[in-house]
Amino acid sequence: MVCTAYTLENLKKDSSKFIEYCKQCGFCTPACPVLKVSDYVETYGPRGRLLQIRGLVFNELRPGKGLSSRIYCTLCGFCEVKCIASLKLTDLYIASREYLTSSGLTPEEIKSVIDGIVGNNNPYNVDPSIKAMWLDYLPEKPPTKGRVVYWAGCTSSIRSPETSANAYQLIKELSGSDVAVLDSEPCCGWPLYLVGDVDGYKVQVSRALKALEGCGAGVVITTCPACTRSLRDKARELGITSNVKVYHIVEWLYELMKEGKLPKLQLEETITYHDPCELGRHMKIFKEPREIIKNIQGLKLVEMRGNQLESNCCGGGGLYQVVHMDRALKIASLRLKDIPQGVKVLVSACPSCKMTLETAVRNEGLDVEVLDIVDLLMRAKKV
Amino acid sequence: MGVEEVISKLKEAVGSENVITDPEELYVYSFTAYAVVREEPLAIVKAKSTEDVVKVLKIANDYVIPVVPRGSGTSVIGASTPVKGSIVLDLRPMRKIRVDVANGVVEAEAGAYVDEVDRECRKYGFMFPVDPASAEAATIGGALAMDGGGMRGARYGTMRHVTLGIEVVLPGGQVITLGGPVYKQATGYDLMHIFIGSEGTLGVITRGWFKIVPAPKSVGRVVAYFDNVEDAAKGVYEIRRRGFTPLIIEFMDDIVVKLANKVKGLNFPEKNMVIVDIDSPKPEILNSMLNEVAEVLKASGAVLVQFTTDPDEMAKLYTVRKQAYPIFAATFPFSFMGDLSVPLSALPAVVKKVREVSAKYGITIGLIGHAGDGNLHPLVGLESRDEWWSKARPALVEIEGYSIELGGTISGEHGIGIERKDLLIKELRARRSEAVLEYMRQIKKIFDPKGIMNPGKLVD
Repeated sequence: MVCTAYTLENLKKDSSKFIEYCKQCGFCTPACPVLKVSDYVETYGPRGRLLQIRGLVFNELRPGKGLSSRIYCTLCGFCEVKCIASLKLTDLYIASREYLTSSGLTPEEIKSVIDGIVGNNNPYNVDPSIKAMWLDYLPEKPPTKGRVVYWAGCTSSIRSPETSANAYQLIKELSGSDVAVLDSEPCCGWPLYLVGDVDGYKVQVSRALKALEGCGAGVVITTCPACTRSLRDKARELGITSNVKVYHIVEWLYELMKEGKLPKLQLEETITYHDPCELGRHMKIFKEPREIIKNIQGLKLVEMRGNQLESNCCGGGGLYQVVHMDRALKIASLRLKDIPQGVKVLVSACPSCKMTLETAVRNEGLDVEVLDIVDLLMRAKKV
Repeated sequence: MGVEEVISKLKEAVGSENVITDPEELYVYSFTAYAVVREEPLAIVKAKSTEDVVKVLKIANDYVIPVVPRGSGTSVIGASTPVKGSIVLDLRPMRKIRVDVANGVVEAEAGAYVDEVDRECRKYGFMFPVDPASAEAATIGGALAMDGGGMRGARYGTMRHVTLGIEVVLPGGQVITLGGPVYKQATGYDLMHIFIGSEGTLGVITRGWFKIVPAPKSVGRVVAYFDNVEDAAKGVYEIRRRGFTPLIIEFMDDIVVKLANKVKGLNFPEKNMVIVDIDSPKPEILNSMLNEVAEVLKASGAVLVQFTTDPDEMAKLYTVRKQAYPIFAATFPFSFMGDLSVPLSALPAVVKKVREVSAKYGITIGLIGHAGDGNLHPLVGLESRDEWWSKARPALVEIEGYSIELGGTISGEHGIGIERKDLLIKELRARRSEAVLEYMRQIKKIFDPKGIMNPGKLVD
């Protein structure tokens, strides 16, 4: 059952058609990564979150700071896969975050994210010049106007500049044309959606889409699943229209592959692939990255324990690590245990996943390299 | 005695980080899968070891505070529903699993999920024999306390049939081990079987040792559709009568199939469905076995029979059964599941009764079940919570009560809890065995003289 009421007030009007459908069966709980790193205390699991929301809806609980902190999870959506009543639980979590934000109970750590978007156009709250530093990895400054645009996104730009540069080079080479990068790329607004500021998100995403239209973009390619969801799927769902076609890079590469335009590549390696929650469970993009990987001769893909719809989260989503950094990294460490024995390369297609998993690899002292799928393609040789 | 004093003692004993008293968290723990009753506990204690359980039960016994052991809170009859002012002992942090392949035994702590134990066994080519539909969420401790069953009940029985030993903490903190990791033990009164199915009313089961069985090498699935519900039920017992011991025999009536097609956009024939899984250590003879089962079902009146050994096709044919309860959950704001067990030959009579009762109360009742062992689950869908008392409960009481007349029982695998205490009395009366209740009370007094363990459940 899909909930489109993004505010708790709306939920209150329609609660019997949504919250009451939860049978407290508990099927969602074993899937929850947050529960696993919280001593299995019910309040931190999906059923507990839903019950706390129920308490708010029926005025049986009063909003407080503890509740606010517990409501935050990774929004990985694994609980939705397991929900016997097919409840769209992540929408409910967003509605509760909206309520907490409007009640002035946003966790302190989250405030810096909002301040960053408002003040510096990025959730990391760093100077915009830092966000543009990935461009220094390119041999020459890209144009700021053009039909094909690479949208790096805040996380990829700031935390994974080499991947951003790799992505740009790859797109340029494969598109056979100039590829533009926006002058002062704005935030796509997704973090605002995640804190439940749906109105703020609408304003920010509209601004981003306008900037893209303004530079003449017809096709926008991004390496960030969250940006893809924000600029395309969620914007469309909330009635924000744009002529700009947004693709996650694996979708774009897959289309090229189907048209026979992806060159044959070779790399002798055994890898495993981590499905990012935003790309996989939320956008159902499972086949494309796998087909692209299989297109590389000599490369062996061994699936992780827990993949595709049943992929375990890396802990890096939903702004969870902003509020609970330690637990987010514990989730990432758990995910590393799903790497098949003997595999030394872990590939993903999301800058947040890469960042979180890399940190966990360092913390665990593992001999595993974490790569974005773009880095993997750039490493492969043309046949 | 002050509440603060008890909380302080608990914190001192197990660490303050393991004692939860936040009102929002107590609110959350007041809910379980039994939607009829809820009460807020005094505190939640996270038990991370048997020693933690010992400390908590000692304090609870000293101060005469009720204790409600809890796994995942999946009991649909209220066995894990907190008692007002109780200590809820959350056993989920206790989740160690150890497979002893050489001796054919798996040892698991109370908080491990049943499915997790099964997955661990499968790493070594074995499986955990009991497979409740809630295996992903249900814990070993809960399954033991409730004597849970499941899909493979026809072959392997319920938890008590696969359990070799258990560790129990008694009120006051004494730890006893009943049975152990051996397949045979002739050492007097079998107290282990008193604790299995005792619903947390005697003590806290903290770990168990269980038989494991080889995971089947080759499995095939037969699906048969029947116009007539009685024929479908006859088909089920005919399979058993002919000497087959299928891995599973599942039943769904046409009401469930129709609802599944509508809700999930499926296209199954809208008839009563019987699913039979046959396994064989020799793949070469599997097809002939499947053929034989298909013939038996045809002879019983099946209008369509399909079978396959292809895993994807098998999964497709299993979709409706897997989705049966979820479909009710997603279709109705309120849904409840009954649980009765009858001799195999009485299945057609029960099915007929369910139809009559459904018409009498004007509510939707679908029927699914582990029909191979005579265990059926009527699924009741309601539009409003108020219909529980006015329609659903009387309907379920009538259906489950009828099973007594047929020589069956009011619960096959879900237990008594809060929900079926009156039906238990009815069943014992019908068998002229009311004295059993008094024996149960006396047994409880032996192990729990102060009556702190999960009061108000199973027997008053």
